Amino acid sequence: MRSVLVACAAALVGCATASPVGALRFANQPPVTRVNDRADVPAPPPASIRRPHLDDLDAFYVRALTRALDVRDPHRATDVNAMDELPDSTWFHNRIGVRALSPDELRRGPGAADGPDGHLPWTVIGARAGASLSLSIRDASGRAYTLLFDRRGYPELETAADVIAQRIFWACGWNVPDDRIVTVRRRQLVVADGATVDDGRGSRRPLSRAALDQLLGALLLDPSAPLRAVARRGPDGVALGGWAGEGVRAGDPNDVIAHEDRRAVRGLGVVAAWVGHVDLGEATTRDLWVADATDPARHYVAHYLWDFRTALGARAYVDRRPDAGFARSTDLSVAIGSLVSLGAWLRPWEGIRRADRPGVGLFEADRFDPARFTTRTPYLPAGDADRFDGFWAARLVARFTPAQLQAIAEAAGYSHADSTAYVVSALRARQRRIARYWFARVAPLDRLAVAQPGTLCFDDLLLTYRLGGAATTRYQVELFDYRSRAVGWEAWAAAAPGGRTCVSGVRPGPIRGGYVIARITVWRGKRALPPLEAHLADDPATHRLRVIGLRRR
Amino acid sequence: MGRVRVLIATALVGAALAGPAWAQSRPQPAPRADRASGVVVPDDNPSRDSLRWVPRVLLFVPRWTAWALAQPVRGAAWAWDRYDLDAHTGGVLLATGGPFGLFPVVEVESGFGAGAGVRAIGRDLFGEDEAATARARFGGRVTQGYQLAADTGTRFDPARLELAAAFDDRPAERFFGLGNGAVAAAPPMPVDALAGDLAAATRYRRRGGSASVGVGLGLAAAVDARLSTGLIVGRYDDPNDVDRDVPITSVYQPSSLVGFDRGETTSYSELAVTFDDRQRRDTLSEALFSTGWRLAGWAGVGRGLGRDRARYLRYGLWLERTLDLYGGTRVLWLRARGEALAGRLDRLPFAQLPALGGAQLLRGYATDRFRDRAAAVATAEYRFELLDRASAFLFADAGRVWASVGDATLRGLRVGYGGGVELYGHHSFLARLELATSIDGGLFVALTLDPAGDPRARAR
Repeated sequence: MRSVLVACAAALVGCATASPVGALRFANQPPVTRVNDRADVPAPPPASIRRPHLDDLDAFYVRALTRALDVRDPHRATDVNAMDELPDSTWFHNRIGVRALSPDELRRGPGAADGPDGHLPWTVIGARAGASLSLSIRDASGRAYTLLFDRRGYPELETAADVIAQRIFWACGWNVPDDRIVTVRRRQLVVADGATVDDGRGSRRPLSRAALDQLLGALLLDPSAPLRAVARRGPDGVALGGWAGEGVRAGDPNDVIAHEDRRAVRGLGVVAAWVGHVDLGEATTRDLWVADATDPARHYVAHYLWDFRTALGARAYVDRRPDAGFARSTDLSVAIGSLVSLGAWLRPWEGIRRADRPGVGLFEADRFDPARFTTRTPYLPAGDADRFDGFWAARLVARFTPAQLQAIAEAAGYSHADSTAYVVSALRARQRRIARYWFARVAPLDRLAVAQPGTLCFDDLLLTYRLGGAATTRYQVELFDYRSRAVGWEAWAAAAPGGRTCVSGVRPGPIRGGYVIARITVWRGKRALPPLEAHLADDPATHRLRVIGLRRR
Repeated sequence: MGRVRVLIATALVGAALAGPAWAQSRPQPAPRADRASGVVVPDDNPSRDSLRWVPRVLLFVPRWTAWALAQPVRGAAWAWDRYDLDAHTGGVLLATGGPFGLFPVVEVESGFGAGAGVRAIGRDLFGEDEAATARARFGGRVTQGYQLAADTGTRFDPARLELAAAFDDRPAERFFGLGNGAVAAAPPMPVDALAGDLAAATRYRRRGGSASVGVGLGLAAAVDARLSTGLIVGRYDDPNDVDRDVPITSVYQPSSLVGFDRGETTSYSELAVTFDDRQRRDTLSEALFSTGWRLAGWAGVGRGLGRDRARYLRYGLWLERTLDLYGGTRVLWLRARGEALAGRLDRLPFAQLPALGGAQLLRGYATDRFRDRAAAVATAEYRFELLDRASAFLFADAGRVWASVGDATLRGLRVGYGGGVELYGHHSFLARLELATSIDGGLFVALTLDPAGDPRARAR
């Protein structure tokens, strides 16, 4: 009954107004900052089974085609709160921009203060060979880690990429494992009884000390040099496989929003573009059935990004694929473009040269185009992302300061300071490109607040981050009441230095607790950006106007 | 009226939302994830296009047809993953890297139809780049065909020992007479193939095989010599399907086709010297060269054994230049190839005479369309990358045959042209589709799915 009434009311409000503001109305309450998706899941849900051939077939062709033929309505993310933000959840925990992240904290990352370094020796309980080597170990304190090594001939490359991208995703708010750089000396490794090695093709054999030495020796051009690895430790729990790009996880009652409708998933593409995480997809994510920290008897499913070793141009460099990040691994549009032009089309990645810095991949900013970045395998939620998701993620990206990026790059432990400086510089340049691109697609206004009675203030992020437009920016503010009628008040304001502008004269509406909608149009010269509607109402406690919701158009 | 509706709407909204949810100043308990929006009246969703149902209806059938058609392929992919065929086949099925690979072979060639088979490849078998390959195919140009090859890689560097053997039954090989003439109607009586210049489209059957042993020797950084000797055995007959094909003996006197009646049992020894400094970009497949020269010259002696009276000297020259036009991804490939057989006319087996036409030499013409004692062909091929492991190419071939090298002239050149696409693995050629035509008309299609397994194999 309630929903019927709401629908009728919405229809009537809509019919009654030919107003530029829509029918949308928010509850007069503080925005939700945390959702409860930690209801007890008594048993682990069934693990998803990755079927690489079928998944690739679907992602590249079948779902790509059937999705296109579905002619679906574009739809906004549904896991956001009234401020178009993500509340904290098992998917995402707001960090940068919401709380202070010191360089030290970023250098340390999400893990415990002490890693396995202080707990020698390490007992090797398993190994996996193949394109790259990983060892499962237990340190002297009993904690389990996975050691992930650089490939032979590519020292520092993948380990550095992993740690940098991991810390960036973590600082943004996603869950990641505790990855840290460690130095591995053979004498600190002990092979456990019963340890085995998987050759990467499904065959397993006992792991002897000699076999371990052989595996480690194969990684180094100089056998006497120490080895470097990422020591990865995830939370204790039951691994359930990666999270699917579409739908929800069966058996998880907390997973009530289709993944392709989650901003926490749709927005990943922008950050992935920033750090060149070309392998973003189900294979590089992981769901874990974990115990609640406050009540170990309760369990829920937490969602993690899991592997970043191919980021920062590592994939492009190791696999000799300069098109990584620019094209799918099989990209028919690129093939058709080349075919039609008989090869005359100079593709965006052609001519890119790798910076000659130790441990740095094919990672640069000059050719980077935020609109064209693509993962190697189609990631369907990124395809569903709209400009609102893009703006949200770009704002996260823009929040990183040079000092924070420097700290993150230092965590990678490059042996040459040049490499650190180069990566920071490339990240900075790409960061600005991302911000410029997405901040031009919506009204990039942030931190809207009624500073004092009648004064609405906001940050214009293009100006805040000094991306241009300061001299030509003006704001047009119009007020509408709860019924969507213009109240006859309009104000213009020039952009204030520093990007935070205040407009005075905003007054409550006549009904519904002073509900009023401030429609703000950002003008860059003669070009108007799609407006932002700030919904304001009186705070019952203070009887002052407060922002209760935002809608970007 | 509008105002009344607004009031009603407002009242309804109020009724719907009456209660403590409307105006709260304190944080509420965390709601479910899908109830965080704070929205009490949903938006009128301007992004919904009411006309979107039109394409949706129109595309309903194509959408589900596409889905249904995809199911067999999806099923195969599912079974592959479900039963882990990679592991169960030891990871050799379609493995372009690693020590072993097992590949399907498919060949479609105009004039012969489609054939299929399988190829097994062993790479770096004993740690010194030793390689072996076995290939079996059925249908198309052969009713059955088998090949074996092995070499010692770098084990005896700079020497390399090579062994090869092959057998096939080709039921309908093509013979258009000797010379460069245009195709004419079959004469009422068989004619002397050696005397005239009559080109009639005939076919014959050849069953035969060969076995050879060779030693390659690296003389310098880019120079190799290869000495090989072997035995060639062939038996000839009219084609299997004489109702469909014009038998060779109905047009050409068998006695004028050297080797046709008695068969072929010939020893053949050859010395070849090759200079090859072609380079590839490290971003490209090892099967693709992007710059450099390749020069090869060869001379060999064939001598019939037993009743076979063949005796000839075969010699030839291959000149190849690869020019990198841009980044190794746009390449101009220039090639000139000439070959001749010297000897008495009645000692030159007709099947061993240099021939042009088909998918390799003088494309745009039927396989073995031109045949005589000397033949030359020049090629200009522009190759450009489509994908990381796929290229397209456009080419023009020009060539002709002559009765002897001394008769060589550029008059009467035959010119073919066309294009196609090629697919590669990281290490080797995988597949090729080629469409070709010529100044004399006709359209020729060649599809080959036959991973060579070794980039050098294609050059040979």
